[in-house]
Amino acid sequence: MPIKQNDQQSDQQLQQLKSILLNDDNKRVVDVVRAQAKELVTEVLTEALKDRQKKDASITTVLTPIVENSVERSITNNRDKFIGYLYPIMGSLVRKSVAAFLNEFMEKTNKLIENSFTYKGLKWRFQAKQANVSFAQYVISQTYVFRVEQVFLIHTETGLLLNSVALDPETGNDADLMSSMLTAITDFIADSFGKDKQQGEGLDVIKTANFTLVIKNGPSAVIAAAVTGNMPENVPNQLQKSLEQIHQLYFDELQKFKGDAAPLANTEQQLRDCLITQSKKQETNKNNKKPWYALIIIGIVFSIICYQLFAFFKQDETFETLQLLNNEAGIIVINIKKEQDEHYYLEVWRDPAAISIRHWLQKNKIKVENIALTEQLFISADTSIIQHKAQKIYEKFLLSGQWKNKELTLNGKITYADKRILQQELSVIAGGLLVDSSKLELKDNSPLNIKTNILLAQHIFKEKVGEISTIQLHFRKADISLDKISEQIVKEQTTRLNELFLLAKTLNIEIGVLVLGTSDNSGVKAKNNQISQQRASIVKAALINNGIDASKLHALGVGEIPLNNISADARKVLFSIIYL
Amino acid sequence: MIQKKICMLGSSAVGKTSLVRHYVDGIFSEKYLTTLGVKIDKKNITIEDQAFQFMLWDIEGTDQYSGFQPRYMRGAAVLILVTDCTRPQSYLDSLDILRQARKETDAPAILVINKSDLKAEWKLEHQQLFDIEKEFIGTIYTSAKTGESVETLFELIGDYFVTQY
Repeated sequence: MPIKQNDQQSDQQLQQLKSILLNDDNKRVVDVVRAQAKELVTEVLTEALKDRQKKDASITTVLTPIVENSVERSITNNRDKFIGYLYPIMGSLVRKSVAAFLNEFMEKTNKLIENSFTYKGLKWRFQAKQANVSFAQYVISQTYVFRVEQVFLIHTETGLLLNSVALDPETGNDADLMSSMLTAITDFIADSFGKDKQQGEGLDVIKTANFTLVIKNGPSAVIAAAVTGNMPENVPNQLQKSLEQIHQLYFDELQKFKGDAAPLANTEQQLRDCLITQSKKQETNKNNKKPWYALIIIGIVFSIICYQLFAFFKQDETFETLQLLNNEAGIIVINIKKEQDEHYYLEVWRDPAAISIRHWLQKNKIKVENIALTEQLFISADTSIIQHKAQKIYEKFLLSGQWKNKELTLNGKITYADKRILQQELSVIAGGLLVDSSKLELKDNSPLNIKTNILLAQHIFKEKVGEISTIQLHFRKADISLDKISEQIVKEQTTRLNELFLLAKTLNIEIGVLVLGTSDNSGVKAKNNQISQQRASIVKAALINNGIDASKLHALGVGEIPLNNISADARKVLFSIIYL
Repeated sequence: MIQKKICMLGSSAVGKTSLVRHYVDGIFSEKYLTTLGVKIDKKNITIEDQAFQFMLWDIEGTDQYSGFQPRYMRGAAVLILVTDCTRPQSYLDSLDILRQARKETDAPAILVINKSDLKAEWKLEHQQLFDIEKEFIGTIYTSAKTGESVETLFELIGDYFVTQY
């Protein structure tokens, strides 16, 4: 008894001591700790965070929404700064993203082609039809070992949907109805088959032919996942882990839930952790291979595009080449029309001396059979064509020629008859060809073998006389000088006279040349007489200067020519041959 | 948006399912009623700028031979007791059903007197009015056939929730 009294006394004393030391409600200790709270927490904060994160990774979950909100606010308030920070890395981000997109596109294309055109693809289509599921679903079932398609977070008591996530966003539309019905089903099964309420809560897997529904029950919320394929153990484990995290982090929100799920929106992160997929190994290996099918198809498409581009440019090239025909002498392109394929319609005018169109096409590597050609002949005044035509003629007579634009000076030896033929042929060439044949030497000084053909020689003589007589020189009013054209005419007349003298000599005919000057009827008659004489004399002098024997020439001014319609403009020098 | 679980109860053939058929969105066929004893539809409504989503649990009609799953009542925000104005028994049944439901939930109940397009075979008498005032937060006459007051029923429930917040 005394011992008991002693114990009681000790207890009371201890209480008194505690009360003195610690004050009521441990106030002294609390005050001391509070005073040093900052230092104490600072010391262990990092380690505590690390340990907690290691234990259940809940730090990340708690910090994520805080960091998100902070970043959002920071960006809103300092937009310009962030643009400055991000600008340099945006380019590489975009490139990376584009590269990733292309890779994905290649793989998808490959898979699509593989699934569509291969034996396996056709087989899968057939089997999908047999199983009465869509081809896409069947491909997924064959491609993946399993896929968590959709995850629901359901309020235990009401069956209302708190949150849901789905791999395919389109499948999440009726999640609210699904979650309620799921609750009804589990309630039904629990009531129907459970021996007691506790046992009834144990329903955690519903299996159908197409998918498995995994359910994890918690005190305030249920997590349910629709899984296709063969589900491994880690899926229920992940569900359980996420459910526990949600209960831990959102305890108050779950307790106070009265129909507004907004405070639980952040549970999406935990639910997303449950969207696990695993590809079949075989497929994974295949994915590591080069996407040959896609490469082949893309290669073919690329080749076709290249060919089309090549054909297009080639056609364009042909068109441009054909236009170059215009640069050819003696050819005028009237029309070029592109017809179907590589065919063209080509309409040209061509001088007979110009290059043949066929030859030109071959030279320019254009297929002749692709060109529908319409050709019309015309006479070209082009210098090179005239030269070409003349050259063809004089080379026939073994002569050489020197050109100065359209003026041709012929050199060489030629018989008189050939010379006549030559002159006739050259005269046919239109377009302003001038021929100087004064330097031609006549073979043996004898144009013809007179003895054998004296009649022909006489005929030629007369013809030449006639020819010389047709030549006239014209003068300007009150002018006696020779212009360039007149000088040329005098030069040609000199050639004719020389030939005539030769013929005359051969035929033994004496000849003389009368150079007759005339004047118009304006002015004083005496003066006109004088002018006409001066004109005749000046032409005579020119002929003498050109080598004509002066003794064969007689210049005579005949003054005015009193003839109607002639007298007013008769400022001429005429030639007349007198022969005996 | 506020979600609420609402249970529709009543004896067989009083028109629970018909009452809301054209006013709700659903994806489940009515065969669930006979297999599971419940079919769930959804009704969205906005009252005084507050959006509500009612999850309507249409619970299979009960009679003297079959009961109902009391678990289905769990977490209900409102109970709708549907009766048939041509069958006096349906009112008595509804009181009985409500009594059973009260074992699971104390959610407020609304009395719906359906088939108002037909001639009423019973009228609420003084005692009944007294009972009703005690058991139900409101009474409404509806017709599934003409659609009369069906929307009003949901608005009434919405108003009730708004007053609760």
